[in-house]
Parts: sequence; structure tokens; C-alpha cells
Amino acid sequence: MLGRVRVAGHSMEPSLRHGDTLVYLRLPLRAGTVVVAEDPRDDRLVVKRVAAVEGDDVVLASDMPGHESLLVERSAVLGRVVLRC
Amino acid sequence: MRIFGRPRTAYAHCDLPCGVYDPAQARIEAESCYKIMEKYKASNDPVFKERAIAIKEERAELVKHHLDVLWHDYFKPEHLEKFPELHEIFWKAAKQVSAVKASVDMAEGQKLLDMIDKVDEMWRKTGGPEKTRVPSSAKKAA
Repeated sequence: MLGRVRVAGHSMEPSLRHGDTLVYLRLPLRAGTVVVAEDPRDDRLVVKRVAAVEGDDVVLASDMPGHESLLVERSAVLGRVVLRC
Repeated sequence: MRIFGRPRTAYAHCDLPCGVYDPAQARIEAESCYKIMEKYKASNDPVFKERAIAIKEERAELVKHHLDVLWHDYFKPEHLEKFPELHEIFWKAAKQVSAVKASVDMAEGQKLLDMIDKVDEMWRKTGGPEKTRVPSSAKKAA
């Protein structure tokens, strides 16, 4: 599965910048990769780095310090970011 | 040929859904640091003085945290256009927190309070109170 999103926000700087367009692809989950996921708190999408995968739980973190981590279910991850344009 | 439709937005920020940000949090902790310095100077009790330093360290760390949250989560690129000195103000304020940690000089504490007031001024001029504060019931009824 392939998708495209536009980044809003600054928590992934310097890797990703506000306004970047990303292409994501459904690939196996791996710590250290950047993914697009459904935010369990509302119906928005988030773009974050996978900090850890523990069973069905995935811990997502920001690249910029000072931002909280987010715990999502494996099924909430839509795909790994493979292209930035 | 268009393979994709219009892209959805993927949010790269983790601010709480409530969106409540207020420099008052940073100021209260900075006021604690200032008053701790004052009490430290007035005391001759070594145990009290040791506790005062430890608590000042904790309060100063909270100042830094509250400033960071405002900087990262409340202020947006359009605010930077309005206040080009925004990053400089936050950077200097964070440095000043470190100065407060390392000192018992009340003048350093006052400098930090003045810097937080500059942040507060930007927050007010960008509609911070209207966006984030919840009016008291008495005001709502009036």
C-alpha cells in the first residue's frame, strides 16, 4: 500500500520539515525508521520515528527533543516513509 | 498522470489535544527560584541551605520544560514572522535558566523573570490568552 502525506509541524526537524511531501509504503516495522500512523487520540495522522516495537505496541518518538512519545497499535501504522519531495 | 490525490496532512507535533499554553507556568517556577535565592541568603542553617539549592535545581528544570513546550508547541512559523527575535529570546531564556541553576545571585533570578516576561509579551500579542485560557465562571456569567 502506497500513500502520500504533507508534513505539518516541526517535531521531526531536522529530518523532515513543515510542508515536506512524503511518500510512504507498507513495509515491515523496524525501529529507527520514520512512519506515518493514525493518531489514537483523534482521526489525524502523525509522522514519527519508530523508537521501539514490543509485540503489538509501537512507540513513536519525535526527532526534536522535548516532544512526548506516542504509543500506537501496530495496525495503526500505515507505512514507512520512503521518499521525501 | 496523477497517481495520488491531494495528500493528507501528517502531523509532526505532539502538543496535547487541549492546546493550553501559558507562560504563567514558567514564571511561577522562576519566581520560586528567585524566592529560594532570597531565603538562602537570609539563612544560616546549612541543612536548609542545602535543601534550598536542591529545590531551586528542580524548579529551574521546570522553567526550562515550560519554556520548551511554549517554544516548540505554542509558537508557530507565522509568529516567527511577527517576532523575528523569537528564537533568540527563547535561547537566551534557556541559557538564563542554567545561570540561575548555577547561582544564588538574585539578580540572575530577576533577569530570568524579565526574559519570561518577554515571552509573555509575545504570547499575549499572538492571542495567547484568548486561545488558551478558560475564563472563570464568574466572568462567563457577567
